[in-house]
Amino acid sequence: MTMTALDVIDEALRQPAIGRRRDLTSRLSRLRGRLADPAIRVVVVGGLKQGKSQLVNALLGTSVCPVHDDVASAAPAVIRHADQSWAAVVRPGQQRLEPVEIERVAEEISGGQVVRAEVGVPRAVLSGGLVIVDTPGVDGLRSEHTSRTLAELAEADAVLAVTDSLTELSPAELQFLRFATTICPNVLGVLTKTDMSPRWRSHLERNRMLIAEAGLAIPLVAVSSVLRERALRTSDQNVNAESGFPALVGYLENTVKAQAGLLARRSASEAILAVTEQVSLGLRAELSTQDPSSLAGLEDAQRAAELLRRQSSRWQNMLMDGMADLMSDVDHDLRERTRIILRHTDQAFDKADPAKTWDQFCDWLADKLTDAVLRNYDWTVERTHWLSQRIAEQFDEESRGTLPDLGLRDPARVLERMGGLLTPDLAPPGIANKVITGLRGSYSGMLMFGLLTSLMGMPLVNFVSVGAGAVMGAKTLKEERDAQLKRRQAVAKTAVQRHVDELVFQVGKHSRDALRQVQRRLREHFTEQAEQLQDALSDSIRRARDLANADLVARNQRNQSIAEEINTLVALRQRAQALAITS
Amino acid sequence: MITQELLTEDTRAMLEWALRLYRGSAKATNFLTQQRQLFEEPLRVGVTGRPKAGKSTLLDALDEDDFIEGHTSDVDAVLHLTGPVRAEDRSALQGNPIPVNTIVVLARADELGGGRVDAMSSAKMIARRLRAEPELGQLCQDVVAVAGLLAVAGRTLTDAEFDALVALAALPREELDELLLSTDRFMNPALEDVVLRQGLLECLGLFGIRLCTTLVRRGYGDPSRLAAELVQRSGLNDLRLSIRRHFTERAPVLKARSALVAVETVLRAEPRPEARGLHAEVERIQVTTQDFRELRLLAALQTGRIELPSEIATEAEQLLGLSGTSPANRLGSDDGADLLHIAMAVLDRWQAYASNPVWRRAQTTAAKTVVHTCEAIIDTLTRP
Repeated sequence: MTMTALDVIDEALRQPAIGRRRDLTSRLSRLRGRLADPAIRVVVVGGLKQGKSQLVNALLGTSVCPVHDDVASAAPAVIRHADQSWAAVVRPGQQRLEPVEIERVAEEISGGQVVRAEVGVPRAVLSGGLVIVDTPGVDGLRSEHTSRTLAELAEADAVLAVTDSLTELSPAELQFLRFATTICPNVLGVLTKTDMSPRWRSHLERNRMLIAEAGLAIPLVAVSSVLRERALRTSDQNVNAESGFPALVGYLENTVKAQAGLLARRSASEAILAVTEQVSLGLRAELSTQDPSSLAGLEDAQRAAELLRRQSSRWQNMLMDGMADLMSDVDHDLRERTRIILRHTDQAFDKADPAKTWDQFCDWLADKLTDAVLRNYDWTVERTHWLSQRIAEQFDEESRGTLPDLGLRDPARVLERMGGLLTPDLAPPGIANKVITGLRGSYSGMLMFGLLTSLMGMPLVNFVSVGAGAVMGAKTLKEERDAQLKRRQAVAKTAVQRHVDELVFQVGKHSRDALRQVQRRLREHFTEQAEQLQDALSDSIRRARDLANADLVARNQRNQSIAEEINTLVALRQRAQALAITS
Repeated sequence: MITQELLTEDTRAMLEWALRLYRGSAKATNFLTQQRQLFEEPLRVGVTGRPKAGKSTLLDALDEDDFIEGHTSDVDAVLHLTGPVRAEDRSALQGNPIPVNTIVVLARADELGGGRVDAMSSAKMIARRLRAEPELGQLCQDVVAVAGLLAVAGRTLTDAEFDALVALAALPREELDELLLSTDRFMNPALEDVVLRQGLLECLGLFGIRLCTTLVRRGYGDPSRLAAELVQRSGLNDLRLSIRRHFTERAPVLKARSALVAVETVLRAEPRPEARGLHAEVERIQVTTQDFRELRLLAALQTGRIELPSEIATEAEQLLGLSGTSPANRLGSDDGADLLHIAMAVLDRWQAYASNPVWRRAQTTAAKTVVHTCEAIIDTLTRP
């Protein structure tokens, strides 16, 4: 029988040699807690009206997700395993879950008055921590629904990208798939509504080709939720096979869950190897003090402790300097990116009339800014990983520990909160305004020339003065129009400048906060590693001294038990290694 | 109506003016000559939408000569086809300088409803909701749900196909339901008549077959009655009615709109100092034409940008031509009634609204537009 990660951790916790070390047991217990509740988030995404919610309902045999011919889901629904069905919603502006009846949860989700719904249902497919998240349809890349969906995507362990089999993938859908793979490597394409599409097989083939041509590695399955629901109702295995759902369930069981298990086993394995290494180190040090060279062992341990102190100050300096550099680089990078956008904006509004091009411009600007912020974020993540690797290198191979998840928060929520660019007052002057301006010019022209010509004995209103009036009126009108255009361009530029400043400020604040959090996390991790080393060393020094003074019989007994403990630890290490290899 | 005749004359004069002004430019002259010729031709409607939106099917269903597939330039009015309305549809509709010439069509409406027998009524409800949506309402005149496949099939159903449908409808209920559960089952090669069934699926879709067998069971036993019912249910008649109300009856307005947009294009592409007068004329026609004013006010009322007490708003919408532009339609009464008498009473009432001291300025301005409309109705009625 193969042992699960939890079994091996439990066995490690039972070892007396490990049990003596508080720091190590607490580390293993924490890992055990995390592995015992491994939520594997599977996020269901796709365009409007592709049958996402119906897919989730059919998969689970429930009706918790709202299915409607019109736009149905307005908020994500998070569905997990529970022995008893329950449902709760989060209202806008609140944090806490408000319980609702499970029959009413679909209505709540489509009603638009909730931010998120949480549902528990007793379903076997959800066991083992599988959590399914049904999301509102993605429409363009900017609407409010879309940003909620993207936020969910960031936390996904696997993504089901849903599109119907009535037509083949559109360029926009392909682009979205590409985007999804950059956020989460585990993407499965699901073609729905095969029952309605006479040509779903050819669309499936064509889509496979399109995906391969796009250089993506996304497997596809084709399903019919209608057939699946019927199969569940009648418990008919044949209909279930016809629905295509077995392939989908198989993917969830064999790929998503299995990979999540592999990940859990790997981290358990690494933790146990690290812990046993440390304990064996202590035990061996104790054994060596039995030798005539015991004093040398004591000196070795003391030297190691000194080295550790030096190492410790080095990594702390490195972390502080590295983080300070990183923060200023990230800030500079964002400013540089937005500065280029602003330059383009200025160039555009030197020529164009913002009153006419404002809406297209807003779209362009939102695209560019989102892109800049996300690229800046990607770069930040890369640099942070690099820095933590450099720091880890300051430690020995075995005392380095597994780097913690840095969990750098992405700026999607900041972008969401920022909202769009406020439209400044760009209204071109109305016709009445133009008439008045024109009149003003023509009046003064007429008066001027009228007075002149009246000296020549003509009436005040004559053909010369009227002509002059017309010319001056037109001139004033043109000047006024130019001045208005200049004003609008200036107003537009200022509005954009202000918007970008605000964005840089908000995103900058966000990334500084996020980086500080990462800094804290890294510091805690490496401090813990350093303390463990320190503890191990002082432990062995103390015992070396004790033993030097103890009597021979007791010493021999102790030697015996140390040898036994080391043997059990070796066996445990083998099991931990096996854990990481089994798939 | 008299205003439309005036508008046509004004527009023609404007085109001539532009031609005179741009005599020197071969490119502009070519374009304007073409526009002048188009102006005298009947209304042309373009059908747009994403690939596979169902454009050619709808063109088949409508069977009109002056409707063409393709882009929005060079046509007077647009049928924009879409499935669920997406962001890309909205951006496609934006950028229309005078958006009084667009109907959004929820094509493939049967698929919106998951192919259930009641899918069409559900699609029609979605169309109604979208019509009331302020954002979309500003971009188009109407939203209509149509199942193009069904409409075409209604016209082209062969006897052999009809017989096959009758045979299907005669199957026991449960057997038929099983067969129609999915296209795979319907095309099961183990059954006979696969070729005929393939044909049915191609021309009706699974939804169409479900609907037809249900209708045959309900007693639509002969081909012509079934065909008529299919056309009725497909929403094609609703679309035709909408086209008549918004396009055909306002054809002169839409033609004038095309000409105005064309002349504006030339003025923008080749600006000339001496074109200032023409510029002003284009603007004058846009601002003063009662039909444009009516359409703008109609849109403002429907989108809630201008609010009036609900009964008054309903009357205003009708007078402005929401349900047809004939005097009887506008006044909401039969042709036989004493329309002139009614129109006088309506005029009095709206004159009172226009000087109502409690109303805000936007409201009284709206009322004044309706007063002009009433005057035009009376003018039409009293002319010999």
